[in-house]
Amino acid sequence: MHPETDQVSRQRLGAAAEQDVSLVGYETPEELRDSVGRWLASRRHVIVDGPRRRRGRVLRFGEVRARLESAWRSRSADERQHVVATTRISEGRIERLLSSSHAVATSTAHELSALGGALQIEAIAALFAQPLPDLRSEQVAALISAADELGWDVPTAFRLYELARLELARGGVRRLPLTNIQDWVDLHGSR
Amino acid sequence: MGRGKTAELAERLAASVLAGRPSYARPPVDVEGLARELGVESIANARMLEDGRLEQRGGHTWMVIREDVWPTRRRFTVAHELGHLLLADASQEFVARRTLQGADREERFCDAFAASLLMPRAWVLERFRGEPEALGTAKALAESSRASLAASVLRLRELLDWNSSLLHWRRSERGWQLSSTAGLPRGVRVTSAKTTSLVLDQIGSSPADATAEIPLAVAGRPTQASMEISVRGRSAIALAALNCFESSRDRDPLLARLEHARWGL
Repeated sequence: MHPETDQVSRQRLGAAAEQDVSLVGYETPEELRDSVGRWLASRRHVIVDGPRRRRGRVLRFGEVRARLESAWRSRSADERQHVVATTRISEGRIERLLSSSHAVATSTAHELSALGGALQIEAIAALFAQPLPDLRSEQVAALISAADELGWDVPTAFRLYELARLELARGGVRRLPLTNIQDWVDLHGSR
Repeated sequence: MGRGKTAELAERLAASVLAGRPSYARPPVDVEGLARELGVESIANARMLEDGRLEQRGGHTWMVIREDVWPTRRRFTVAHELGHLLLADASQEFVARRTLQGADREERFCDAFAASLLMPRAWVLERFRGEPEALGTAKALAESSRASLAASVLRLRELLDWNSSLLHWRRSERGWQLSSTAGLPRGVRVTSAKTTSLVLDQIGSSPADATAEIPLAVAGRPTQASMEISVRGRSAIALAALNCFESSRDRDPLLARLEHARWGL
């Protein structure tokens, strides 16, 4: 927003042309208020939808992170050195990337594709795939009960949660209830 | 569409399937024979994670069932997959296909269909109305329908307004571990308490069902509940009225921690 009388800098005009930026002039406080109101109303669905989109992003990148981590951890020290050499990403950087979904989300496309290629997993394809199905509340409750009963820690429970979503995403007409402790014990034992 | 409507449609479909086939009219229903009559060419066993799978390709239909499941659960799975088969059958004019949207609803429908097929409503009402809400009654239904005890308790809750829940422990090297539950009140999460294993060991194997106070954890908090319990070898089943416990979803510490990890908060 800028007073109508002000000159808009070329930098701002450039930003408006390239980014999601609107430049609007105003003469009176009422005009300023109305313009802001209109802008908010026009973007309302995006603003309100923010938390859901952020959660979706975490879930999507969480799945990529889990796949990358699983492949990375299964490699021997020599094989890891080979990955470091081929990707030119340091071991420390790889460990940081695998430490959280947020780290994966903020990595570069080059890093992800290089790492996915070196670890022979289709990490990038997963990013553009349909979001994984989420578990029903009774399935989550059963997972938690299994963790409680069997003494699994939260990372183990979370890994199983991600694994279950991958399993459910495989589709097909399959009966995989995951609504009892034993179902989760079986899933845990299958890996 | 709500759960009640889903169950009603499943009940109607199961009744219509059984009505045209007198040889399947009374439990125990020969569910694999029925599957073959409905066009399933083979039912194979395989080592797999899921309980069962329905496959249709090139005009052929077959089922694959997990090899290591109990026969009662296998029967339920075959009946469940039959539900999917009937829903997918374009020649069947059935309202559920049009109103069921989403995989979860279809799964719930097929579970309800399987229960209705194995334990038809009229037969359950005729045989078990007026029977006591007891482990013996649930066992009698399970035996006469060759359904699992868990499925039987759920059916008795549905048709005869039972309040009881079923708990099943298995004995491992680490002691007794809760392996499954059925019919828990909504939002109530039950696990073993620290002393549950000790108490189950003290009860020990006995041919008769006993009534005992069993330590439990509800949402991780220790408590105890009176229940009818049957211990046989390395398996213990109990029937308990747990509706005195409130939903624990909002104050379940482990749930909160998983949610924390789940959303990367």
